[in-house]
Amino acid sequence: MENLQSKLDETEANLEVSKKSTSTARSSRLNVSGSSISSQAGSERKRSSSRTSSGKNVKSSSDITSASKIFRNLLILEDDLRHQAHRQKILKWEFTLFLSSLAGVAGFAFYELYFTHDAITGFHRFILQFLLLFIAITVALFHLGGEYKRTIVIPRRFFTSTNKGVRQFNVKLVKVHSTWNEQFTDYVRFVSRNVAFINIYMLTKTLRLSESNALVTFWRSVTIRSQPRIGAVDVKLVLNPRAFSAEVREGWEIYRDEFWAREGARRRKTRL
Amino acid sequence: MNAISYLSNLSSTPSNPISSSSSSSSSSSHGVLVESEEEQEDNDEVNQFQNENDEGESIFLKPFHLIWFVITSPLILIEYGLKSKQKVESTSRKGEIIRKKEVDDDLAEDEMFLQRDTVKGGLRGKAFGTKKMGRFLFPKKLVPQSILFAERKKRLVVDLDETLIHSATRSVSHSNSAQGHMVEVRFPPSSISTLYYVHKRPHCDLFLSKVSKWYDLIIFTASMKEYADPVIDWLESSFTGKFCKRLYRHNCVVREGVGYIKDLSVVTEVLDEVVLIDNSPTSYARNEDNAIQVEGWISDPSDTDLLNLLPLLEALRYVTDVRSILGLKNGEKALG
Repeated sequence: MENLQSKLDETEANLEVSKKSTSTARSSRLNVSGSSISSQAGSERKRSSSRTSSGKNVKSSSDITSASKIFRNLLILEDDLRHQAHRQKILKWEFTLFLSSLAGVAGFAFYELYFTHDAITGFHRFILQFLLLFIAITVALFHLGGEYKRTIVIPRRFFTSTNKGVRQFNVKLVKVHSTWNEQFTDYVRFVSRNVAFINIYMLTKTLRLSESNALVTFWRSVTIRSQPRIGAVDVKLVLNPRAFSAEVREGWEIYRDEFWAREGARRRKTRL
Repeated sequence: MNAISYLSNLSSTPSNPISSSSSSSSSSSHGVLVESEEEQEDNDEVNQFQNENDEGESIFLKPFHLIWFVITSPLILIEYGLKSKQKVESTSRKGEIIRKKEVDDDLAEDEMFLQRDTVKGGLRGKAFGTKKMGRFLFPKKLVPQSILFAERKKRLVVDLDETLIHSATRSVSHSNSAQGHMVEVRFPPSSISTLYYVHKRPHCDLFLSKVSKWYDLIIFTASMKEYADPVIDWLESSFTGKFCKRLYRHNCVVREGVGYIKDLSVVTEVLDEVVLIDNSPTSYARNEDNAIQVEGWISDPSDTDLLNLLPLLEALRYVTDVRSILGLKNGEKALG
């Protein structure tokens, strides 16, 4: 099997070198790899048994099927894009809040100055005018310095612009809308997790209980059970149906779900 | 022994003296064991007088004990905690050894080894996944630590003309109102100098400064060194990073009738860590799976192609092999 694999590698390498005549080379390579898959499947049982016997076995990279490799890299890509989307969302919210609070204060000052019946005089008037001017200058600088674009415009267009960038690779980044019961579960998990953290803090820092105390271990187990959902819960990468068959797209979904299920189990286990 | 059992032991101890002092018989009115009903009846007569006494005392004592127990329970918990701490300390040596072993195991775990597994609950039974895609292998960790903590960055090879900048001689009219940066180029044999007006693509500086944090930047242009060098110097002056390497026309492979081909083996042998951004498909003909294509830019001031690539490039930092993502431009052929 190993010999066959190395031979295949050699042929693939040769084909890589003479890749210019693309169509013929590619079709022959496809045939070669197709035969490799069938032969791999034939000797599957033999290899898997040897692996289980030796535990951690060093597997050469040629053992990894191209689909698994691609899916694994897609997972990494998707996860990083998810983090980016999350970051951009937070950035947008922070600065929307900041600008709207500025606008609120400015509106109040404006109203106080020009729309109230009793005339405002003296120091009070000066303060309000100063406030108005200060906010106007801040907003102007915010816009001129490009901060408005960085914090509001680009995050708002994150999905559109990312999809323009990754379109040539036949993938698409989409938002996943969770149902109301998922949202409720998320909320309950969030609350119980934070309550547990506060309790652990109180018990260990204020009351100085040990880590192995029954109450502390109980709250620790609560934090483990109320971890946030992981995987494609808010953002996911989908393959373009024009370029990929239904089987491949389905395979990718299954691969992702299975990976995150395992990852969740691993996290629960390691935090115990 | 856990804390609850410890507590229950402690709470039972203060109540014991009451029963032992107040009643001599084991089967008092609040006694636990009843041997038989007859015996109970016999004893009842004997204990009637004692019971009255007993109740009188417990009315005062029991609530008091309960309050005392509630007040002191935190102390008991603390005491229990201290005891268990001492226990942990006494066995810490052993624990340390075990913990060290675990850490070693974690590091020794090479994340490139994928675990073999079939698809569970696959919709088409055994045929699913095995026919076309082979068996699915799952990594132990999403991003291998070798990539996550590596000092070495991946390499990003960028084209110059029509990708980052556009340059024109004076005679060619440019739609941009701004005059652009002037570069005087003197080609050695003739020593006639030509003046070029160079314009940056929109968001070029932002793109370069962001990308230089994530990748080792390499510029690979199909133009002459004499022309490219001053332009690259000008680009370098306007962003914080630097180009690690500059490659010019003489580094390209010339193919008659096709043009200049940028062979990435000049840059590095390890092709799974190189990304090439270029506007011309001819340039990356040899390394199609490493390339990101951008539209060639000449004058459009509203162009956002460089900005659109930033999320992808940021995410590509951690992949194990860039070719498996960038190769997806061929669709299903990439799956083999």
